[in-house]
Amino acid sequence: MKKQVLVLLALATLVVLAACSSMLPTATKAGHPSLSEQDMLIACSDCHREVTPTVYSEWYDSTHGIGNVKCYQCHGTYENLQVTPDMVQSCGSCHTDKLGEHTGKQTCWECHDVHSFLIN
Amino acid sequence: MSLSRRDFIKNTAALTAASYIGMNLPFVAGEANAADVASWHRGTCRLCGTGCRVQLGINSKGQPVAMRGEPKSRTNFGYLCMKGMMFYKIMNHPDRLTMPLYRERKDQPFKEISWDKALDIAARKFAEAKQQYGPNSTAYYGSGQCLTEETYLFQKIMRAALQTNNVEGNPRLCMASAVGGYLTSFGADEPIGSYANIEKSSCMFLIGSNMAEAHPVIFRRVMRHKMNNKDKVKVINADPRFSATSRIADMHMQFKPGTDLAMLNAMAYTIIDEKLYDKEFIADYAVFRKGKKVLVDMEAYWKSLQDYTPEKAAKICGGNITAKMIREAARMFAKSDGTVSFWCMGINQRKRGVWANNLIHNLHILTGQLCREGADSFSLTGQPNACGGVREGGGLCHILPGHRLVVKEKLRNQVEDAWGIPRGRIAPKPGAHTIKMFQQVNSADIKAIWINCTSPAQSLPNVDLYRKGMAREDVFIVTSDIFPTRTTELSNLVLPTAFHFEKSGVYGCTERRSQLTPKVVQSPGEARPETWIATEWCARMAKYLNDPVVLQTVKPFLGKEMYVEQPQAIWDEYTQKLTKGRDNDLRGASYTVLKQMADGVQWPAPTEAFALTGGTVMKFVKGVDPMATSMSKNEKPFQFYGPAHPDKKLWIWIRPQAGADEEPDADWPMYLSTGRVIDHWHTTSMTGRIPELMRANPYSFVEINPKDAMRYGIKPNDMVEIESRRGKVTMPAKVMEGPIEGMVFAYWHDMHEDRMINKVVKDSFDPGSKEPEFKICACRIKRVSGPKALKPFIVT
Amino acid sequence: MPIGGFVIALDRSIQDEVLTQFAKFSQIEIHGVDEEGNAVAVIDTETSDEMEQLTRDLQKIDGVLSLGVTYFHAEDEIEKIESGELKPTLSFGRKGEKPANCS
Repeated sequence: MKKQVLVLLALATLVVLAACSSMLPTATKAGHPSLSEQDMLIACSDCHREVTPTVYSEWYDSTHGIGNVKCYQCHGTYENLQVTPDMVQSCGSCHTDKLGEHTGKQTCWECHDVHSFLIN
Repeated sequence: MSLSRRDFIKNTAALTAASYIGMNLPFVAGEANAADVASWHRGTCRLCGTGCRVQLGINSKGQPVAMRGEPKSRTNFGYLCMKGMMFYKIMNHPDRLTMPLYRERKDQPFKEISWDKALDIAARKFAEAKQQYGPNSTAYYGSGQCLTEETYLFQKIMRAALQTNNVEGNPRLCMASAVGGYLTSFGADEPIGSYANIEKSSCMFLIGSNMAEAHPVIFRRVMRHKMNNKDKVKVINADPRFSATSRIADMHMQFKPGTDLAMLNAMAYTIIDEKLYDKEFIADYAVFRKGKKVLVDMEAYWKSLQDYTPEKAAKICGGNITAKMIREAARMFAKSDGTVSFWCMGINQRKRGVWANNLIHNLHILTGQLCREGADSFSLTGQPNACGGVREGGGLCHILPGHRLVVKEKLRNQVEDAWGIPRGRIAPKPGAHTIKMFQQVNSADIKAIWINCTSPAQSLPNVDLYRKGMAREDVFIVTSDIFPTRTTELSNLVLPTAFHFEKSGVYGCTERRSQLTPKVVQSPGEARPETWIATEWCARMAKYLNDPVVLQTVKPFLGKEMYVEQPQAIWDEYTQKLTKGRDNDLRGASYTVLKQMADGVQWPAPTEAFALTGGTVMKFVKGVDPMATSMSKNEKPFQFYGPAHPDKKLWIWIRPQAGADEEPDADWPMYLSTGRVIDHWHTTSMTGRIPELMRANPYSFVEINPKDAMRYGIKPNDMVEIESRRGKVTMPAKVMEGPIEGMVFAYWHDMHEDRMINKVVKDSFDPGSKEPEFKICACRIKRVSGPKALKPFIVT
Repeated sequence: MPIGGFVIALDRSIQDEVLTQFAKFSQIEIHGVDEEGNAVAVIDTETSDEMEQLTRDLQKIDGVLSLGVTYFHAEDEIEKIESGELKPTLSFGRKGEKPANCS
């Protein structure tokens, strides 16, 4: 009961705060928060299991998670990181045949929620 | 973690906001991803045995800048794993070997020399060895990653020019037992069916394989088929280790390492006990055997299985195996509309690997789960061209091209005639198999060895013993490769080779499919294709040996353009002359045909017209396999015409349970097993130079069961020493429900001296297949320290 | 202590004055402003209530055109509420009615 109320609280706050409509995410080349050389040798998922647990569990239970399509395949590594991947470069590496007619003018994730990839 | 969690979350918040408006925040910006592709070129992936078809993207300067899957390919349908996605990144790597390197003594530094000088040295050394010490003082150790043209040419030179059968390759370390299993059970090497059986199956039996990491794109098809048919399709995973593959399994059979023969026999027991066998299929197509020359019957077979009732087997297997589970698995296997078994190194790299293969085939023969859609006994091949080049092209010490045995004079003569050399030229006895070959290097009985596209100084079992031999000054070693490795470190002459897409050639993958990769990119510096290197080397040896037959060996290829014309001429000779009429008939798969295809051609494909359809999807079935039709002996729909079974039948084998060569004992109480991870290929010489992949698994870890970890006081990332009678290494620990209690599982890709697990592994081998038992030996572990800041390592 | 990531659209003609105003609030970190006048900000407050109030205040500042949340993380606040450390006030329906109290 408490948990539900708290979720409601969080959601309510979110609704109040959301003044902007969501804009189309564009590909960007932003850096990862700087880490030491040693920390960069930790697999993406090992840290992100802790710090972005929702993203992690969505991915882990998705076809990408079971199929071992890992974070860096879409997002790159530190020197070439793309928080929002370039659709053609990342999705298109495996899903070439879906670019064009199937996607039209949309991005893949407008219909296939990241990171569960379920159709919303 | 040095970054605080709050800081991390705050940075995430900033980045998310920035991404919405396309803003670059003032962090260290990454290098631009230059994906301005001017043209795409179809080829095959350089890595595993799946045979994914890829498209390499070239920019306007002719540089490789992108990779994507080929959607029309029947192997991968456009999908790639991370290795396939990224391997093009090493083509321009600064560590690429670009000049021939030579040193007279191995304790000297390398000096760059010209090709002229390099080839001369190689020719002289091998010629001298043959003249002074006889042909068997020379040897060739090749690879399942060489193009078929390369393996075929090298083995031709060794046998025809140098007159030795000391031709081996690293598939001896991975697939020899599967070959032995197929030959003794079915009479012919390689799977009967294709990957297409996945989508038609109702039960998939995955044993001794971590397909999710070792064959990710085939696993994707298994995963998808299971997810689309959650209740109808059953997946059984049999492995002492709970792996990434186990995630999709309905049943995980976790047994003590080395007890799977008992388990498989118990499944056979159930199948017979509960009358789940296909009486007609057995009557029409199978016989029972106890030894190569000992024919028995169903009665005797049934009697032999009395030692393997599910109850008895469960006791032997331990783990979570119960009699009930064995019966359930057997019923699922037998009753399903189509059962496909997949296995890999867990079954092959064993003291009794051939037997283990036989016992899986037994289940399929007993239940008739063969030769129809969705039913097959499917050995997964590890390397991209172990099948095409080594198994089919004559790349092992006891076989000649076209699935011929060295010991059969009639077959030697066929090859000699095809090569236009005198009969009697090819030595009548098999050469030294891999372990024997490197034992002979140790004793300097082999004086000159050519190692091509592989790194035995890291990949051999009990590796320090053989590194000692390779370091000998009286053994001349030529290595041809693209990067420095542990093996180039022990060589006298290092030759820079062209990489994939820098030369033309064919790879034959797991499902008997031969696929062409064209030359699209210029190799760096003076790197050259191996086919050119070998041709020039042999031509010079002809002078030193003063032997016209030596020149005859490479005459058809001399002087041809080295990137396309020369390999094409070699492929034509191999397919048109050596595979003609053999069970791997590839006459229809010319370069012209292969170039037209999104994927490639499955043999047998005797004609171009048939090859263009894709070739033989299922062997032995009349109407599907042209050879089943042409070699049909009777009116039955299946014809088992394989060359190894004169009776043209499938053989059900009586094989007893046999454990590992070195089981744990009081002093060495743990099982040690080893294996790969998805991000790395073999010795990491390629994948270790791609930051995305290196960072995913920067060193080898050792997986330890939580119960064992508690017993030894080991926490995640603690440094653990793994020791055996042969050596010791120290690795960071992963504590997880992976290996069964009493077993540790170490990754083998690391080439750092402290972490090369092959120092610890035992070099016992299957007496039939000569394949080493990488998968099981005895060790002990102890906690050395807490986590350490380790550095990844590759030889540069 | 929830953390929120925001895009704040600023009137470019008086951008600098607005940013000076922001500097008065210790809870706000400005990570960058682009040529269009969009600022990337991270707001770190004690409670969600406080964040709500702060964003309302920010929107009142002259030159702040709009304020949109793009990322919101409140896990530690929820933990505090669960442990009883923090007692949130919730109001449903009409303002002025007595707020409910979570026990």
